[in-house]
Amino acid sequence: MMTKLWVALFIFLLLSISSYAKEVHYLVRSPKALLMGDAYTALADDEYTLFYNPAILGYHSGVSGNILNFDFGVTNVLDKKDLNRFDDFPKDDAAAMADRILDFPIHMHLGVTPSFKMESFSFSLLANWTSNYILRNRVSPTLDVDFYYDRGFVTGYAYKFGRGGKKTKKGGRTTGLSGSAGVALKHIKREALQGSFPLFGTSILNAIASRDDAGFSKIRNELGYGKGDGWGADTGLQLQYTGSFYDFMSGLSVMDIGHTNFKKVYGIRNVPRQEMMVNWGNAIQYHFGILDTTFSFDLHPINMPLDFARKVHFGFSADVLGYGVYGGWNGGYLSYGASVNFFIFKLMAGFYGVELGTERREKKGNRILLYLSLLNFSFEP
Amino acid sequence: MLKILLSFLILILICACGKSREELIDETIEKANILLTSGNCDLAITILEGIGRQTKNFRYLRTLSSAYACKAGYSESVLFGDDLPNISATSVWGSLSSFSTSEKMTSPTSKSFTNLITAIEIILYAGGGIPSTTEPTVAERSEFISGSELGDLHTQALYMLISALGMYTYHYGDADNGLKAQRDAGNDCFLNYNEDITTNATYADLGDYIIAALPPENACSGSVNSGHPDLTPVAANLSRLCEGVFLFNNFRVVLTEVLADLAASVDDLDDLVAVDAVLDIQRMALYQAKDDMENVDTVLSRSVCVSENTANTEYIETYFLYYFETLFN
Repeated sequence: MMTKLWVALFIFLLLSISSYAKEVHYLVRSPKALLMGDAYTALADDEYTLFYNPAILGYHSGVSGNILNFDFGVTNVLDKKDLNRFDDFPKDDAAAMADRILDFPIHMHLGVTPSFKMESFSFSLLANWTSNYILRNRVSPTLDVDFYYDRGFVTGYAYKFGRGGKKTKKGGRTTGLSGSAGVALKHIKREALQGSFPLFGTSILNAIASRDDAGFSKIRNELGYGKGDGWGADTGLQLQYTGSFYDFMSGLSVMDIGHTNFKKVYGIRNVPRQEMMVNWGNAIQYHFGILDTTFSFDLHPINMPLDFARKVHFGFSADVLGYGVYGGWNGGYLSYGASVNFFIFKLMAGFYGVELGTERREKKGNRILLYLSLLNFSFEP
Repeated sequence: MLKILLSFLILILICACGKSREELIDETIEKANILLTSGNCDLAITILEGIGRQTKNFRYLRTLSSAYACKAGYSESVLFGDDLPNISATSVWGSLSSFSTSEKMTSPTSKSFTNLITAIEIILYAGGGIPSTTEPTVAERSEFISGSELGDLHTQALYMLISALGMYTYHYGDADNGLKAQRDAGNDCFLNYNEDITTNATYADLGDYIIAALPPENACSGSVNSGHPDLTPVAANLSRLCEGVFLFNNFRVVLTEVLADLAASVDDLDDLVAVDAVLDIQRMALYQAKDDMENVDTVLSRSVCVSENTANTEYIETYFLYYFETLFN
């Protein structure tokens, strides 16, 4: 029966080949996951567990926390293809400026997600600020704006069952199958501005002409800026087979069940909801002494009308004594990076690509990320 | 337990995955904008027309309109950056006819011109349910699209109307370097005017006006029977005349709307304020010269213009003389 269900699921995934018109907007992404092609649903055992699969909390033991962590992302301005755009950049000619930045995606992101875990319980705060802009349409240039500022908390718990993966008195682990089921609850306050605005239309011209603060906020509101808050829920399931020197993991999560909707408290338009996303991930980890290697494969978000190839994610990581290298395939684009991890301090940097068009490899968003985590702690009984 | 959970999740997937009509439209608009970024006008039109005209969807109309404008070789950036700064209230048609896109019109059926007309009409007839025989008024449009979305549509239409009027005056005015009757069509005026058409003003008829009111530097001054070959005779070319009426009347309506929408003075559009003032003065002169000019002066639809003026061309001739001829020195 189980086999039939997985086959049915796979057939369904193959049939759901369609497309989605925008970059997929996840609530929070783990920097490590992004460098691993975002193939992380079965692996998310870091401070971002609650944003991937709450069931993985079932495999956490002891107490751990990440008090100060910052992730920062921008458009990859080091990309040679785009560097020439800014040579002799026109200063006064709006049309010439528009021509230069046409089709150049601008991305800025800053996030903090301090988290605390105790056994199978976790609590995480979040504050994420993300702005995406791209100017499209050579005939009537249109500025696509996608701005989010989310604040709130997520808390979750998981129940683990099965005999595999338990610590032995000798420091080893029991082999065999185990599983975990988890749930999470969240409350988010969202500020957002989403829309397409003609560059030479009255909306933008008015915004530019309004130089005082009151005028700008009025125009911003007219463009559709809004604030709201809402409750959401996630659930997940994790199955794991623990071998003598390896772990095989498979996870399924449903994030923002039934969509997380926001009750508008400010603005003239509805605040964009957080879409429900169903994620399926598989990974295998090998432990060779001081070397840990991981290979992962994800399909997500499998419930959204997205070109199938955009749902495919592959990841790889290798960790030796606190140094890590990562690589992956994120729905059509490569990602890679490295990290240094010394107890209370973790630094990570890398490059990744995301799809900004309607189908695979139509329009690449080329990005850099930097992650710094301080005052990390972990105690195990 | 696991089987129940998996069954439940698969059910969620199946229920959640149907792509709605709205999602299909959004996706098509997005794809068309990407195609228009790379200049692929034909494919953009094909996919947008393929899902059927979404006449109440502001983003769809904007994108479809720009796809046809793309086929016309039109660019808002070029208009805004290179051409609009040259617009002059003292030589309205002279400045427009010398725009970089104006010389794309080499005949009444030039694709650049006809595609631009299509692009303009897509916006003017926004809202749906407005047949081409009905006037595409602001009130009709605002029943379905309002606020900043309508404002942005009007701005897009305004830029295209300016560009199309530049083509129109370039071709039928036989213009070169902003001056009328400079090329090889052989005409000094837009039309072969019937000089016996009477007026109420200082000048008893159009003949008097052409001889005495048009300044000497106006090529048409004193030249009653020197119309453009493509507009001669007037009665047989009414649909072409009505293209001019359609463009000019809608230009004035949309210009008024856009200027009213602007929260503050915008440097690049300041000259249009002066043009608006000049047109208002000329309109007063026209209304003083002849009664019942509303038959032409307030008409916003090409087909209505033709039907209103088929039996009697004296109003449309007076209209052309006061607006197109007089304002093209």
